[in-house]
Amino acid sequence: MRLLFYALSLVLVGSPASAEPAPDFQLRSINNDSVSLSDYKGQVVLIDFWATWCGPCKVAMPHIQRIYDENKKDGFVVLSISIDEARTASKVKPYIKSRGYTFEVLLDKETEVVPLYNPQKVLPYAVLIDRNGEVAWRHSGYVAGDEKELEKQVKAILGATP
Amino acid sequence: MISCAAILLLSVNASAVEFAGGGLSISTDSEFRYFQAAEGLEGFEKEFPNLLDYMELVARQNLLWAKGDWQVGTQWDEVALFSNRYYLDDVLMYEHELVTEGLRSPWPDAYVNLEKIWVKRSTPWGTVQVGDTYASFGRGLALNLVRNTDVDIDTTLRGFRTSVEHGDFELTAVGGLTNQQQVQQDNPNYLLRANRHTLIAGLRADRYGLGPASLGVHGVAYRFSREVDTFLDASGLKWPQPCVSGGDCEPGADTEPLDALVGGATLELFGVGGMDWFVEGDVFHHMSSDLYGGEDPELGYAVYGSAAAYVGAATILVEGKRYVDTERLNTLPALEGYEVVSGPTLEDERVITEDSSAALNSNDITGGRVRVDRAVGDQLTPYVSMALYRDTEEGGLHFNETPETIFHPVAGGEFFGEKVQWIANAGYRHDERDGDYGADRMAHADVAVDFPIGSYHTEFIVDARRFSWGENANQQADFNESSISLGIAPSDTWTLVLYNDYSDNPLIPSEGNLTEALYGAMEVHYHSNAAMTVKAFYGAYKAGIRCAGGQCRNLPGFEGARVSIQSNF
Repeated sequence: MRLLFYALSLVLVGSPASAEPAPDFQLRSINNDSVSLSDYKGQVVLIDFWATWCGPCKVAMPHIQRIYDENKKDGFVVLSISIDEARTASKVKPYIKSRGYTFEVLLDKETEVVPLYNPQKVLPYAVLIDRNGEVAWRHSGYVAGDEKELEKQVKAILGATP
Repeated sequence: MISCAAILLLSVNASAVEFAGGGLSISTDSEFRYFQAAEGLEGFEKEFPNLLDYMELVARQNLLWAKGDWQVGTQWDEVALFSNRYYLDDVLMYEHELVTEGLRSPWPDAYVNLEKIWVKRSTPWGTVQVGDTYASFGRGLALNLVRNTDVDIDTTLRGFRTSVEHGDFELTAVGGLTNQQQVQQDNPNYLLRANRHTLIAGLRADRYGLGPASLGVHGVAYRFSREVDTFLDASGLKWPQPCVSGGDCEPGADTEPLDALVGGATLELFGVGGMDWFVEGDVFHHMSSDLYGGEDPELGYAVYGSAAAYVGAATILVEGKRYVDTERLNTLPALEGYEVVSGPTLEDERVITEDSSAALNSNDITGGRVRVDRAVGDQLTPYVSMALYRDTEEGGLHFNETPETIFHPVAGGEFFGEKVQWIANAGYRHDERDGDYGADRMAHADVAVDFPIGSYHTEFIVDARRFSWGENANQQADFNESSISLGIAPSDTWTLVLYNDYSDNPLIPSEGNLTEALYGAMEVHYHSNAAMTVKAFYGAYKAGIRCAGGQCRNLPGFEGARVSIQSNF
């Protein structure tokens, strides 16, 4: 019963949001470059978890590309993290190339990064990191229209004083 | 038989608080289920018809503390059963024994487990992680222990992982004992048991920057748990008991310190001839007869290759494989519900069935797949794919009496328009057996469409399959399956989703709530704000095999009501 009470109290009471430092990580990109989150210090970073077998993830990607194109000049970066396992890793780059996406795509084949940000492994899952390296916004799933909220958040965080 | 009649699911992502000078983030995922027994206690059915009903609360907390170069993570799993007791002739009885075989709990109806704990330190020369860690080498043929929550499997290596980088060199070492997830998130929990440790040690060296090439070599050693007698018995397989636990094999026949050694190499080429290339070769030196059902162990090998070409608006991906005795390493772990290696299957996981999953686990299979995607304008990308395999393993878990040739053409596409988006796939799989043994055939199609109706956003998803098994000794009835969902969002805050499942497969362990084969359900979503979503579900969905990450599980069906709250603070 105490467990139930504890779970309910977490839901109903929660806690006021406070600064959440974004844990650093290092992964290989689909072009074999070594990429760390800390490489983008001072910029606004969208971490987008997806997989080649995730339909809603793929529907969201054209919107992410558009938001990236419109805001990259202001210091907006997309780190699109594929959680495809090693066995399906060969499919990731052809998918990205065939759709013409130009943002950075990283491979989390060993599920190293997903437990840091998305331990329930929900897909798609977006995390916005502000210029101070702190988590500013999270969003799980995608339905049409969600891109408006993402765009609004990106512009708000880009416009915020670092 | 019991059915799960009500579930309350609570999922919370709580934000960070400052702790010990670092940031502490917590996420919680809780689920409350009500199980309704189909029958009461014998002799008391009328007096106490609901005596054997019980409730289950499953909770999981992930805590991550990060400060500078340090990260510390834990995962706590809890399960508690309610209404799990009754008195019979003044004797306290428990309907379900929660823990057994080496697990202890101070509460008979509850269990709390520190499922994962790890500490990681990053330095300019690399990283060191102690505690629970995941590991995968190459394409997963030699080692693949990763988080697979899609099918409720999460086995880590409890030990260490360290990576040392120097220029273009990287050396990764892992070692430890397997740590299986005890508390299930998607399935009823009872008779939980302690970990049965498999020892794994691996080393991989990578050399990047050799022009367009990257080269890697790896080696992995395995010593499997020998405490699997119960599972061997339960499986009904009459395999010899391991010698080290006093089984009925010849003394001294299985005293090797290791069960298997795997050595392999990978070569990756980027942009050579306008293409990306990958090739991996592994040799499996098996030392234990337990991996061969008591027969003498043999040498196994695997070769996998892929090539991707980008020709104008078209992308061509070619993959090929030759696997011989690569699945022997999974023989003992599979009895405990997980796998330690999982190479590229080239299969379409959405249409893996009870039979075609055998090809996934074949110990003698050769084949390949070609897929061509071509963009037509900015919004449409159709594709065609053709797979061809020759599976020559017979018997065992594989069921085949003769070798078979498998071909599987698939076509589909994606359209991402301004107002309408769709993803569609359709294919036909044919497993032709040698001789007069007929063929397994499967036709499948799925489509997901997003479109507006006036100001309402609508999502329509259909997935249908037709299975025909042909003539064979393990004759199974032909059957059809389909899943349909229709989601309508009249505003940003409300969504209504209607579900319909159909299956006339006589082997699945669920029955429909509309007819025996037809399942219906509805769900309402309320998005109070960006931080919270409330979902209320009522109805039923079917049981079935589900595959993800190369591993398949039979997941139970559901009938009843469920309320879930997902929050981000």
